[in-house]
Amino acid sequence: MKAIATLVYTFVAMGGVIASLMVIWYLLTEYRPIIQRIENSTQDYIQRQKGKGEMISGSN
Amino acid sequence: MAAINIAFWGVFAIYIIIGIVVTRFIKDAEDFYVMKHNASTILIWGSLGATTFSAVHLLATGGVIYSVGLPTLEIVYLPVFVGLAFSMLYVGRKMRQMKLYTMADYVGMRFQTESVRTVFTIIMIVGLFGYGAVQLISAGLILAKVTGASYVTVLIAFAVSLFIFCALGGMWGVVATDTLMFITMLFMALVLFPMFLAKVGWWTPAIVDIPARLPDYWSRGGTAHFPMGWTIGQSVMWVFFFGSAPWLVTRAFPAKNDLTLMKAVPLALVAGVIFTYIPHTSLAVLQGVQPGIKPPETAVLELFRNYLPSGWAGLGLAGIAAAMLSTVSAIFLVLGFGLSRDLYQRLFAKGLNEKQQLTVGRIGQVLGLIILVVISLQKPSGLYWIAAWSGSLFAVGWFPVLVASFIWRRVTRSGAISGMLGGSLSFITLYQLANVSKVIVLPGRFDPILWGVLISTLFVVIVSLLTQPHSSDIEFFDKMSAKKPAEEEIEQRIKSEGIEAVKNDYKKTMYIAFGTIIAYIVVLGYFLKSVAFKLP
Repeated sequence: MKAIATLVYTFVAMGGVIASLMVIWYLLTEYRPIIQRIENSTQDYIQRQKGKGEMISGSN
Repeated sequence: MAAINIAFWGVFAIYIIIGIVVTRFIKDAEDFYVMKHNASTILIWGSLGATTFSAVHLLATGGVIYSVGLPTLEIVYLPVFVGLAFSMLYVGRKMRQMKLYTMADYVGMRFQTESVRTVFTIIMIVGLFGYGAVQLISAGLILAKVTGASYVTVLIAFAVSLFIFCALGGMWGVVATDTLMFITMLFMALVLFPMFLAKVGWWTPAIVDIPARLPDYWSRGGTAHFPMGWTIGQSVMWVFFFGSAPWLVTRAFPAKNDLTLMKAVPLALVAGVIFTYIPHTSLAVLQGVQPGIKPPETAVLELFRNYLPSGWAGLGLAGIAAAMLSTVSAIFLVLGFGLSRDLYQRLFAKGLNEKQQLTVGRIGQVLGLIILVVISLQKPSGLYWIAAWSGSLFAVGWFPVLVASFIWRRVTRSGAISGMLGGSLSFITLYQLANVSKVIVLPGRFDPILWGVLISTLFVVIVSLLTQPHSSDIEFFDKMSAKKPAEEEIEQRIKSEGIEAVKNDYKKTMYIAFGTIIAYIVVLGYFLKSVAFKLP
C-alpha cells in the first residue's frame, strides 16, 4: 500500500514537473541564444563605435 | 431560501455579472475570437486551470476514487498533465505564433484546401455537440438534485450564463469568468475540503480505517481489480485526449506573448496538482468515515452537504458548478467558432468585414446554444453512448494528423483526410463492438481510443507515402519549420520593448518554472509524509 501510494502521488507531481522542464528547455534553447546573439551584436556595435571614436580623437 | 441555495445562487449571479461587464471589451472580431492576443498571465492561468478540470474530475473520477480506490484513477493524472503540457506548450504555442483564431485555421494554412479543413471542422462539431450536451445534461441533473430547483430552471440558468459568456463576451467572456471560477475552485480545494478534513480527523480515516476494512483500496487495481491493460490503456488514452482537446489548445491563442503562456502553464499545473491531491485524498477519507454513498458520483456533494455548515456547502456547490460551467463554456465557445468561422464563413461567406464577422460569430454561438439546450431538454437516452465516444474524437481523428503536420514534410492532403476519417470511424466501430454490444474483446483490454490512434497513424503514413504532397503545402511547412516557434516574436519584442525588458520577462518565467518544481517537491513531500508513508 505504502509503495503504490508513494508511486501514484509521485506520478501526479511528475506530470507538473515535466511541464516546468519543458518551459525551462524552451527558454534555454530558444530564448537564450537569441538574447545572447543580440547582446553580443550590441556589444560589438558599441566596441566598434568606441574604436571609431578613439581613431578620430587619435588622428586629431 | 436555505443558506446553501443563497450561497450557491449568489456566487452564480457574480459569474453572470462579470460576464456582462466584460462584454464592453468586445469591439471587433479579433476581440471576440482571441482578445486581440492580449490576455495576461493571470487570465490564461485562470482560464486554463478552470477549463482543465470539469465535473468529471470531481464527480465521475471522484466517484471511482471514493468507491474503488485512490491509486486506480489517480495514476492517470501523470498522462493528463503531460497531455495538457503538450497541448499548450507544443500545439498551442506553435499555433499562437501564427496569430490564428481557431485550430481549423491552422489546418487550412497547412493543407491549403477546404476539404481537409472541412473534415477537421466536422469532426470537431460532432465531438463538441456530443461532449457539450452531456456535460450540460449532467450538470443540470446534479445541480437540480442538490439545490432542489427543477432541471429546467438549472438548464435555463446555465443557458443564460452561456449566452452571456459565449455569445456576448466571446473569448473575453469565457476567459474572464473562467478566472473567477478558478478562484472559486481553488477556494474549494484550499478551504472547504480542509474544513471537512479538520472535522473528521484529517487523513486518519484513509490511512487507518480503510486498510483494515478494504485491503485492496490502496492497490493499483483497487477493489474492482482492474487489470494492468486497463490502467495502461487509460493512461495512454489521456495523453491523446488532453493533447488535442480543442477547448484546451485554444486557451493558448489569446495569450499576450509567448512568455505569458509559458508562465501560465506551470502555474496552472501547480494548481492542478493541488486540485487533484486534496479533493481526491479527501474522498478517500470520506470512504473511511461514510462508506456506501450511492451513486458514488455524488460522494463529493454528500461531503459538502453532510460535513459543512449550510452556507459553506453552498460555496462548495458553487465550486462544483464552476468546474462544470468553465469547461462547458470553453466547449461551447469553440463549437460556436466552428459553426460560424470554420464552417459558414469558409464555405458560404468569404470576405466578410470585421463587423460582419463579429455578428456571424455571435449568431454561431446562439445557434450552437439553442441546439444544445433543445437536445438537453429532451434528455435523449441514446445521447449517452454518443457522448461516451464524442469527446475522444479529437484524440483519434486529430492527434496523429496534427503531430504529423508539424513534424513530417511529406504528409499529404489525402493522408490527412484518410487519417482523420479512418481514426474516427474505426474508433466508433470498435467502441460499439467492444464497449456497447460487447461482441468482441480488444487485446489487453486496451481502450478503443488506442486502436483508433494507431489506425489513424497508419492511414496518415501509408496514404501520404502513396500520394504526392502539393508544393504549396511543402512551402508552408518549410516556412513554418525554418524558425523556432517564438523566434520572430522574441526579435520583435526586443526591438519594441528593449532587450532589458525581454530579459526581465525571461528571468521571471525561469523563476516561475523553477519555483513550481520546488512547489511540487513541497506538496508531494507533505502528501508522502502525511498519507503514503503512514500506510501499512
